[in-house]
Amino acid sequence: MELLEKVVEGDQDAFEILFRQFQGFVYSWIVRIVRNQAAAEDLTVETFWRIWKSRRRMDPQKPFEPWARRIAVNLSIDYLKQLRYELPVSETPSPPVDPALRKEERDQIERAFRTLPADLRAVATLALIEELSQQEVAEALSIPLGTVKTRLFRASRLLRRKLSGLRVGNDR
Amino acid sequence: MTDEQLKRVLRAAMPQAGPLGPRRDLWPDVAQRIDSRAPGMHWFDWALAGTCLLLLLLFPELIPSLLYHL
Repeated sequence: MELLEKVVEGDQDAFEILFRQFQGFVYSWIVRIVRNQAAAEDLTVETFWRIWKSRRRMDPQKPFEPWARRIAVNLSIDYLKQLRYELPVSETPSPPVDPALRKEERDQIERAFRTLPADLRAVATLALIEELSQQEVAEALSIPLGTVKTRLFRASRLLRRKLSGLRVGNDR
Repeated sequence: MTDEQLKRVLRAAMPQAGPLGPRRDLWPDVAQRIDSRAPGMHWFDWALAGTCLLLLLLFPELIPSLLYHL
């Protein structure tokens, strides 16, 4: 019996094997969106818990990654929605930020980014920072390509407006 | 600010996440959640519920008195 079939039937040992195979994949999507390692770890646990809960709806004949990614990405966006009005947590994964950038400038950019609505922020993070193609972003977020383009346009416009006084944007 | 300038500014302030993995083994957390939400109905609970139902079916006159005491 295939691994996914065993998981669907409630085999917890098979689920651990599945977890160990895909936890890195799930975590990497989450951390790219939420940009906080501790939160990404908690959300990875939550993702696999939801996968286990809804395992009977899983089709063992279909690839596991898109399904897991959709759950992980949706949870990440929900997390961003909760965080929107909280103070920024300055825990950015390595590599370190550009040393030429002053702390105030970096804070201003991060703050501007964090005030974006969660849906726009997820698209902007994946497309502008993580450099995914618009098609890849559409697949990751399970939204049409046209929606990605619209959200990216709106996110860029909002960011430009918020960062218009920043000299960095004109100097670099 | 052009699109390229905007990207450069964002990437300078907020670098890519990179190929990071979790800092600890997350499986114990997942396993704990699975175990803590396992179905909790013991066979004794089912037996008790079945007996109560049977008694109420056999002696329906008990229902008003039961409701009164609830």
